[in-house]
Amino acid sequence: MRLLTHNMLASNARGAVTGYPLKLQVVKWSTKEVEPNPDFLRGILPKLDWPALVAATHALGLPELLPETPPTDAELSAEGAAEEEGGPLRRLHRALLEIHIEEGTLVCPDTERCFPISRGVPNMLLHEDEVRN
Amino acid sequence: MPFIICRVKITNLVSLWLWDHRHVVGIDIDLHSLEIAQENAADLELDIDLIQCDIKNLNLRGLLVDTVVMNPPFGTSNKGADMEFISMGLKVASRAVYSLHKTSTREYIKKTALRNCNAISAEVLCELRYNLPQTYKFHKKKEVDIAVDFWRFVPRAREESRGEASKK
Repeated sequence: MRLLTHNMLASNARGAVTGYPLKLQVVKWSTKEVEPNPDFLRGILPKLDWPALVAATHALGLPELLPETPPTDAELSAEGAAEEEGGPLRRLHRALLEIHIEEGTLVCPDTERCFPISRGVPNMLLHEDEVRN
Repeated sequence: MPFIICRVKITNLVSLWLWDHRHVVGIDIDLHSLEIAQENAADLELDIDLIQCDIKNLNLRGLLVDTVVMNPPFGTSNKGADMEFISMGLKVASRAVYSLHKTSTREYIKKTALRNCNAISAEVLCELRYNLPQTYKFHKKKEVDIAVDFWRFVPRAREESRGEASKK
């Protein structure tokens, strides 16, 4: 599971208010390099929950990866932004699309219900009596 | 933009190319189906994220998803199960929901989607023959060839709220 998916996923456990954002506990993660797509990143940026994304990178032990405030559209659109190693576009690309959580846990912020991540797949299943009404 | 595929094993992953494989999330209740989806995606060199979840308990921030493609259970033995999928899809998707349903239920699907599931349009794009192998114990014949509609539903524009996408 990548952090872009984490950014949209919420808990539906009984007692959850919003169930969002899920706290991330990471045991193992990996990196898989892919080609950045500037248009995609510019399109997705305004839809992200930035504090949730930053918190996820901190949980990974990468507090330097993203700044506290999101990059601007101008920064992502600048000429050569996609080629600039360590630049804002490449950092965002890495955070959202190149890091894969392999093993760990997602924790509901309201109820502390734990959802295990195993072999890259989060298990969000709930028993009937655990589901939010 | 990201989109979601539900019940990933049976859904034809080739169709993902239409969306330029930008970010795809596959959802299924069954881990074995997800493993098959993972293999299919790897064969097609697609990078997809998978979530094990019962669709009726899915809670997503809707803003990020534009398209949902799904192949719900036909709802023959569990009436209304397919409408639950459509309803969830229309809550999450901002652009469209694509889905397969039995042709014999066409009028019911259309009426229910427009009246109860927040769709502003529901159209059948094409009719297919679907070869259904015996997958459940209650299936009496070894396999049946049934008429299936490929639908496109467009959700009504709505106010976004975080983490409330699937709350009833």
